[in-house]
Amino acid sequence: MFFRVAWLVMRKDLTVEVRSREILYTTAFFAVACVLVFSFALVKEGRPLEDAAAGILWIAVAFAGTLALGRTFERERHSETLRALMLAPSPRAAIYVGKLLGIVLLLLVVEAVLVPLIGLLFNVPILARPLLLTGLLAAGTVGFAAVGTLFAAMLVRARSRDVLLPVLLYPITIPVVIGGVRGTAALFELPPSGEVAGMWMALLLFFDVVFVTLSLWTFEPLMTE
Amino acid sequence: MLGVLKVQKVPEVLVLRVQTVPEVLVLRVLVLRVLQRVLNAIEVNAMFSFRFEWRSAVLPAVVVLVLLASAVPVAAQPEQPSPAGAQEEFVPVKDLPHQEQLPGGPLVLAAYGFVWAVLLVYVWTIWRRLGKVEREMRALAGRLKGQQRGIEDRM
Amino acid sequence: MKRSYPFLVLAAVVLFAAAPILVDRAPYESTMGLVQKIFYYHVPSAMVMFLSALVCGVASALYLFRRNAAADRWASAAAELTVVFGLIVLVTGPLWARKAWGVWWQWDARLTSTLLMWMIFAAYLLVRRFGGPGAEKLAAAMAVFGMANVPFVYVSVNIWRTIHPTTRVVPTLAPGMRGVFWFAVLAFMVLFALLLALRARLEARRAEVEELYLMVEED
Repeated sequence: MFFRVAWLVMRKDLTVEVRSREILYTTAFFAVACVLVFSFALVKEGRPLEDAAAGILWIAVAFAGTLALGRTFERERHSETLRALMLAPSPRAAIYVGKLLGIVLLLLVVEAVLVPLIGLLFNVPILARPLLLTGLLAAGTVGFAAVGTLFAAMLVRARSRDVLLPVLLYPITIPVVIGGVRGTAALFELPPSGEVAGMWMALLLFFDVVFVTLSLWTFEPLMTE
Repeated sequence: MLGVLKVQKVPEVLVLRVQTVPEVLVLRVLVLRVLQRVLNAIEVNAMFSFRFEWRSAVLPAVVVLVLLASAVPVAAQPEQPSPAGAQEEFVPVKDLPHQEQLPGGPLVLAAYGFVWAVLLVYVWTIWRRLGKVEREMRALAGRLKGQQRGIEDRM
Repeated sequence: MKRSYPFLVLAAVVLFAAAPILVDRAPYESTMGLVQKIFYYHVPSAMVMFLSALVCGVASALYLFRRNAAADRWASAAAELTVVFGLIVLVTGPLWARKAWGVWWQWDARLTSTLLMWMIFAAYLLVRRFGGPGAEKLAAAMAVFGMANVPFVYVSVNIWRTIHPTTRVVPTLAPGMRGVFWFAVLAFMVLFALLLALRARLEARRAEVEELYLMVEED
């Protein structure tokens, strides 16, 4: 029952998104623009700073993720579908998981666009350890999105929700970004350091478990009036 | 604040040892004055129960805290240069050689000063907000009483 | 709580009166000298900050799951105290670091995680102020995450190689320093209890005013 509800919610989000592709295109474009802005800002004599590639990648993911979260829940608010979801006789946590999976998928697609771009602009070996890189990105995205989905859902009914989402989200998810950056930087070195990346991956998984657990625990009382 | 206090004869209850001599007398008198106000704030009535006028005691008490915390003597002690890296233990030492790099005195003073400044300001903000809320409460209670009287008159 | 106010205030006064004398008498540390004495203010403030964050988290959880309005007031008070004592830690630390490490700040695990935890509770206060109706629940969720952060901040200095001293320092203090340190901890804890009670009382008064407003408007 739980997983069926989560699957249905995710499928609903994906169906809506596939039809219009609005959030996907705008988020991806914003992420690319972010990468370019930071590349120009951190360039010295035509060359980017060392280790800038990993940092820029994750900053773009964090900013684009915040935007995507805001837009997704704005759409829900506009159609009043969130209230309908809450009224449905299904476990609230399942709704949370469904929305989380939708956001994670969206962000993974955006990252699939960003990583080749970063590889191109900064000349980093993105294909040296592809599995580990994918794992890092996935773990970091899940951690970021877990907290983001919770807060974005909470803020749907609040005032000044656009500004409050980053204010609430970043202090909690910056450790995830730090872990992601350090791990990715280790993989972009020559030669790539799998051990260090593995260590940061373990930390990211730890954050994932903690954040998803806390979010599942608090989602129901937060969404109930 | 200090100008409002009156000088009164009180038994000496506290003596501070402070390094600079002229400040000892000033500090002692100040402490005793403030303690006097704190003790005044605690009324003991015939039933041996305390009615604590906390409002008039909190601020003097905090001023005491602040004055005493600022009585740390700033000796211009010379220090050894410090190595970098995490420490596992603090090792005490009796004598230090005369070698000065960055004077530690101003930093210690600044830290202590900052601590009591923050605490003072914070207590003052609570004080201010509480005053505002209590004024509102009195105004509302007055209005409520007036309304009730109006209803009674009509009946 | 009202009855214990005079005792708390007097206790705090006495403790803080004795503290500077004791700190002055404490032995000097061999590598850092005088500036190490900031330790007697910096570490107790950090302990109070952690305790305050835990109190806020527990009270927020109670508010979220049991709808206990009093718990929400205590959470609000504790969050403010976390920010205040966190500010003390984050300023006295760099003042000490300037002499001990040669830099004001470093992005090591302990400093970064402490700053982030402080920001979480600062965000708590912002949300309560500007979040509009229903902001208490939002803030309570923040506090739950903030509370989960506390053990992470504490062990960060043991897991990673940082420039900040490890947690082995406090258990292995020399006798001359140990007494002064725990005295300072006691003084700060008493102060924390007093300030928390005062601040929670302010919130309770505000709640009473709200009720009075409703009663007046009903007629």
